[in-house]
Amino acid sequence: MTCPIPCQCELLHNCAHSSGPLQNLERVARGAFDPRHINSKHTNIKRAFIEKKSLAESEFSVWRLDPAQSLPIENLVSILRNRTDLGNLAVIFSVGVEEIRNLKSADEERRVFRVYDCSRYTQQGDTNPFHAHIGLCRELPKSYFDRDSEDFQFLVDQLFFVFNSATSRTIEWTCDGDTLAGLTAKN
Amino acid sequence: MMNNTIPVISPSQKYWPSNRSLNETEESTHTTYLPHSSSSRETSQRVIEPSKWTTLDQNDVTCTRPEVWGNVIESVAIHSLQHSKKGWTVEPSPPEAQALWSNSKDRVSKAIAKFFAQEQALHLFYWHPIPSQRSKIREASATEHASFIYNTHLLGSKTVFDTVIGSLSRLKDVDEIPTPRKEVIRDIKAIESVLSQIKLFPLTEIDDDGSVSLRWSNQNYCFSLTFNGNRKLIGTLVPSAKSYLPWKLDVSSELAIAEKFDHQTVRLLVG
Repeated sequence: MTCPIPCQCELLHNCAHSSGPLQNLERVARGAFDPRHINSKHTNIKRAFIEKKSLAESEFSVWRLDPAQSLPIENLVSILRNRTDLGNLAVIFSVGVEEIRNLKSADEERRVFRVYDCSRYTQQGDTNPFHAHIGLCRELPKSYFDRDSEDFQFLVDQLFFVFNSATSRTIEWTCDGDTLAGLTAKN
Repeated sequence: MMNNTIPVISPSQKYWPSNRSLNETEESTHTTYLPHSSSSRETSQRVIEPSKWTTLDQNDVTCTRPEVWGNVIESVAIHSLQHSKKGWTVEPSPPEAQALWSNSKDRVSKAIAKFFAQEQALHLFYWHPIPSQRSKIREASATEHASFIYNTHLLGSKTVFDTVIGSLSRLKDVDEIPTPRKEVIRDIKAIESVLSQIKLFPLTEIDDDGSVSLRWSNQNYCFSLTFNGNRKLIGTLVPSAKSYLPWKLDVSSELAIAEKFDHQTVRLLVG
């Protein structure tokens, strides 16, 4: 049995600074960093783009691109460029919330991902109303939460496929159009 | 069987118009090749149906892996220049590609990005002298076709296993990228016989946790093998398909692993 879209946990938001629950029509963005997420020829994103640890903890970080009250892409670039530990910000991709919410388990019986508001205060004491998380649906069997299982690996590959597919993703920003021409051509 | 002829394209049909679809061309065009050598068994003029060719159009190029296309274009360019007597004929279109074709390998490389950036249609037409391989190309999609060319003509006789191990060795030397663990290499070597049977070459990557993934993909599907270094191999096919559930097998179970490749979509992806 599968959860409705959106499910109850996707409707929650408990921060006064929040933009509210994520709507199906919104898009969420994530930055790819060079060299961690981009191959040496700048033609492909690597599967490391999907961080297994954060996905297993249901805290895969994304940023809301709400058409109504959009986070300016320049602001997002500024935020992500502070992540110097990941390398140089190369590309920002976005995908539709509904597309992620519609992804199914291998047996096609149930939803697998929830996309939910996460604009709570950080440890540094700041907050951003456009932050969100992709997590695993709570109703999934335990095996989906085991990072060594084939079920969890399937989820990683599902999410990667969406972010890596020319038909589902949009390239919102690139650091260097010429250098990344091969990558952006897939858009 | 290999022959020694160079197919000659009739001047009136040297290039397919870049704005025509494959179906449109299939219905109306026949391409004629003339034998280059009279010593060949095939000395008389013959007509090869356009359906025996594969056309790669803009959609194919933009939907598949650009780095493969770069290699394919380079590979075919080199092949065309150096090995044309083996019977290959390859013709690019549009005119920018024709000019490109006659230039050096390095200039080919530089122009590839320009093609992608400008979203120009790029058509390459192939004909192979070996009937079995020609048939294989016809049946494959553009992506598989690209990989097939890449594998058989750029990489020569290397097996998938050789290439994966080679890729991992090179990745070890790259800073800021996780190093594959010894246990992962051990597990890959454990299924050498399975990997050596595969014809198409995967993307080899090291994930953030040190596991290694081998990926074969086209615009519709992605088949992955993941080695976590725990003597297990995980296989997934996405998007989800009830006919192919993700699996995990011991790397010593080579027969069982080989059976997992016996699925229509997986076979299409791995060759």
